Amino acid sequence: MYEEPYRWVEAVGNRRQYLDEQFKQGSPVVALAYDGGILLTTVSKGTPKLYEIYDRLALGGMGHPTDLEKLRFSLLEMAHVEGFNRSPSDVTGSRLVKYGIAPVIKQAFEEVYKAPFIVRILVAELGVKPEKDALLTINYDGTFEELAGCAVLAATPAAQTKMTAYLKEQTPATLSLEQALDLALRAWAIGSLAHQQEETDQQAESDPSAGKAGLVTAPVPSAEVLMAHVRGIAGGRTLECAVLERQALGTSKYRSLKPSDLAPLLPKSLQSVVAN
Amino acid sequence: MAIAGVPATAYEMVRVLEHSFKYYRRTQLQELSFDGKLRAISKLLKDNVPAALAGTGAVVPVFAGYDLEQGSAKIYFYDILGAEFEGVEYAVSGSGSPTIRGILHYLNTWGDQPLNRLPEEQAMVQALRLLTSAAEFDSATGGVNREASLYPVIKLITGAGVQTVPDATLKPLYESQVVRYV
Repeated sequence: MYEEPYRWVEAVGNRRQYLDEQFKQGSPVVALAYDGGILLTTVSKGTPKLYEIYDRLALGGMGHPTDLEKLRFSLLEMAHVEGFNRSPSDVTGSRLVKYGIAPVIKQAFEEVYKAPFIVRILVAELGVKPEKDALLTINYDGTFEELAGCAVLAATPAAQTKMTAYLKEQTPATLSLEQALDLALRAWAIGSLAHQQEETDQQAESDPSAGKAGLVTAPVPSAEVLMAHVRGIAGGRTLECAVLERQALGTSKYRSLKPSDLAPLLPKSLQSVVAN
Repeated sequence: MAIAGVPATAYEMVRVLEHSFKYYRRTQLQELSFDGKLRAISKLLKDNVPAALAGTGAVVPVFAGYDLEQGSAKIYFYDILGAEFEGVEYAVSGSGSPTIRGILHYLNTWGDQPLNRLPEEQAMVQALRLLTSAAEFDSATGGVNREASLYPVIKLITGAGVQTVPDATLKPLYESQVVRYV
């Protein structure tokens, strides 16, 4: 039935709708450059969403855990084969993404008889110098973007835009790890609130008596409101943070922050989140 | 890991080991166990037996590490076929090793204190003295070349990781406690 071109276009459109639906419950991921490297943050339930890929590469993901595992393994495989056969400095995030997994994701997305990957992926690469830091995001259809400074994954493009705008507006010239963590958590809260807002908006649309209140653009919430939201959600989940540290000893620059590392970095209001 | 033998084979072994340990950690999200690492070295040595017998690639490593699970430092030595043996206090390898194996045994048994009780600096001094003794009697052991400021490579292994002792530390130790002016 997909032989006719317009059928195929329709099928791909349906897939988009289906996939957008799948990310609704997902937790945003924030990557942010700070003075000593790159910080990745998310709040996960159960399965971890931040991983080490190679000496200078980290991965953040949203979506189905099995799909994420599958793509994580192919990234690991590619990176290690390349690093062993050539040299670790030849393993770059942009090559892994552009020639490695982005085409695979695109193909899976467009083969309408097969299941697509339900994932959004963020690859952070620590350069030797800060100017060489790179952040890449890949959408479920294989579209990738190269960014600098900050990158986010969110359930919808609108939430993503809000988070990026917030980060761009709030980021000073240099950030310490503590400041970066604080900012990243606030940006995470912006994304998480945007998801909630969109859900209520959709309900409001289907229920005409509720009026159009949700469609008015709400002002950016204050830092306290955002932190309270993080505290509310992260309480029952895991606050996941990982860094790529330029000054770390040895060749592997990735370090995931344990609760004992996080405690001194977090503001007082969030201490309860890492305590349990 | 320290090696005696053919550098080409040894470097390749270290590259394979480093990469496979990292790959294991990243895929399995946990470190390969200490025993797992020991076995990995054995396996590489076993694969290398034909080259070793042909006389082109013999490698005899000493593997020292800190077992984080047990919280203790361990030393292992291997034969060229890949059998591993735990050296409780010390292990030696290489052409100069027969010279100093006797000294180590003597020091450990009748010295002021057993080798594993030596403080860090004393252990470094002993290592420098032993290497100098080995170089004295074995032409294939490189000695210290003070004119060119070439000192042996000494690494300290602790629970926190592996740390290379800089030449700036070794130079005064060598000059004050190893050199004897005749």
